[in-house]
Amino acid sequence: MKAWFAILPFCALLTGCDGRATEFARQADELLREYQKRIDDQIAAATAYYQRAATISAAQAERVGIETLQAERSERASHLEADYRENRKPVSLYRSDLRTYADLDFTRLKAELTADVDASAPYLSQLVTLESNRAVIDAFDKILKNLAQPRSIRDEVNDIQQFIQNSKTEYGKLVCDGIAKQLNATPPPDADKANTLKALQKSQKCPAKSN
Amino acid sequence: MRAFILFLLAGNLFGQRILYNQTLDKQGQEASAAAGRIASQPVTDKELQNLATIAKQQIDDDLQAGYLTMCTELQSYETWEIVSRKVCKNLRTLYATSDQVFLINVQVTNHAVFDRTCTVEALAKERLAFEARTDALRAAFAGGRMTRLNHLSDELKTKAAQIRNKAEVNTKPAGQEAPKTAGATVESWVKSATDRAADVDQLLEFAGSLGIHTDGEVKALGQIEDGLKQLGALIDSVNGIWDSYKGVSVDPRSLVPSREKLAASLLAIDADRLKEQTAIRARNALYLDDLRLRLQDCVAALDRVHLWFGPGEVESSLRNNASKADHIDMILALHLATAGAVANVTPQAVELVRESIADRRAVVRRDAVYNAAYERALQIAGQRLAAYYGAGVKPGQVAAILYYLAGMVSLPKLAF
Repeated sequence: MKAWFAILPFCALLTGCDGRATEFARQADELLREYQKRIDDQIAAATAYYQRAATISAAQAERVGIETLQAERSERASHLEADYRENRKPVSLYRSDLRTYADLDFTRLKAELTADVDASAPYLSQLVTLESNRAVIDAFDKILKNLAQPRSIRDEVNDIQQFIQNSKTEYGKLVCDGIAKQLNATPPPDADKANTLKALQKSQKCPAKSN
Repeated sequence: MRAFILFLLAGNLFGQRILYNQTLDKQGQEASAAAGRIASQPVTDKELQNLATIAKQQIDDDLQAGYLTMCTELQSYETWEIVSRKVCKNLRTLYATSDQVFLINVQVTNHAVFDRTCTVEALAKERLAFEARTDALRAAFAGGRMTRLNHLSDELKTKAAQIRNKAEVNTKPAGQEAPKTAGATVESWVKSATDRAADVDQLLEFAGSLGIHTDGEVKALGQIEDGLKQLGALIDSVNGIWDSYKGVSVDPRSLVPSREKLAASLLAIDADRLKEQTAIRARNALYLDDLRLRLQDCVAALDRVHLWFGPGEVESSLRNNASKADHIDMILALHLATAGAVANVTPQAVELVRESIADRRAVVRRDAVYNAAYERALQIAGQRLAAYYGAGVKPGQVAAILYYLAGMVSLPKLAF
């Protein structure tokens, strides 16, 4: 075991400082933030565009509504004038004739009074809301920030210890496999060699299945 | 063994991690996976979907407003003076160049002055000027109407080929293969984009279906020619950008897909926009030409019955005991004037909406190109981080080498 610890300083060198990789991760994170800003700006610009379009449509609808009634009045007046003059309708019922127009005007008034305060809302509601996949970007950002952090000496030591432990485990497996192979070889080893191998197997704490 | 140590140390001298670290590898893999999930395409798709909704809404608005104007205009047809004024204004607008249209809209508000200028002779003069402009255009198309357009189309293809050649030179260092982006070489990408920009077959096909008999056809051909010229100018400017790239230092964000690819993508988008605009204008030219003919007939019919800016009300004229032919002329003239009322400003308004939506769509698609460039760079960055942390000597490898060097079972004794 001492020998494994003897190679620890050597291993420390082998972990490297990851300087370039951390710098690369930092730059990638900068790029990611720039990208996020682009998407946010794009969504903001699109939203402003939608708002303008909705406002224009709402104003246009209001204008059309007013002018429609204006045209309706003009058209009805022209019709009624001809009807009264040519005796197709009794003049005495002019109030009833006016009532049909009043109904139309009232319907529009009702619609206006009960409509959303924000006239552009109905137009905006027809559009799909834009949103960036913030969760994915945040997750990536978090990983990049982690990778951009220089690793502490404690982390490195822990990593090296873990690496040595893993290497030792792997090595032990190889040794045990090697012993088992020799014990099971054909022809089998002589008694002395077999005893040495078995003693070694014991000292290495090889699992029973190895032989 | 010495070689092994030297190998490991050599890596360290360059700051390269030699020993594999599972935790960091996992983070690298996560970085790569997260980068792969970054995509702005859904945002772009939604934007395009919203634009289609807005376009429909705005066109509906314009059609509704146009319908209303039509109703109002019809109601205003009380006197022949009013009918004539409306027809004169609409006809003049169609004769006018785009600069003159605004002026006409202002002039018509002063009825007395405007009406005086609306004589049949004055309109005939304006018609001659309009026809002279169209004749000049017709003459240009006379030597085979497609020759000029085909020539322009060939020029576009040549310019596109020049861009491709530059892409090849710029992206392929001597003796090396061209770099690859997303499985395709930059060259092939540029080729596809420039091919698309220079592909004007649909416009040429449309032009081929037109004759040069009517003024509208000639004007539509003129619109297509203008569009092709604009495309040529656009490709020229991209060529210029390419030239200016030579000798410019490398972009520090070298992972962003090549400038060639970006420039070619943007070229394709702007070319699409111009082609769409050209088609919209060409089709509108045909429609408005038909309207012009109807209004000219209206003036002629009213002139025949001496009612062009004539006195009296329409109704009383229709009640009068005029001859059958005169009655027909009057009623026909009213129908033709109505045709003008139906059109009013609707085609121009719809054209404006379509063009404005096409412009906005181009902006969205341009954003998408830049976003895709960032995404590609981030994906490559993620993959590189994963590759970096996934590399390194693994415990199993170290164990295998030590086992090999130890000569089977003799090492455990030495080591422990």
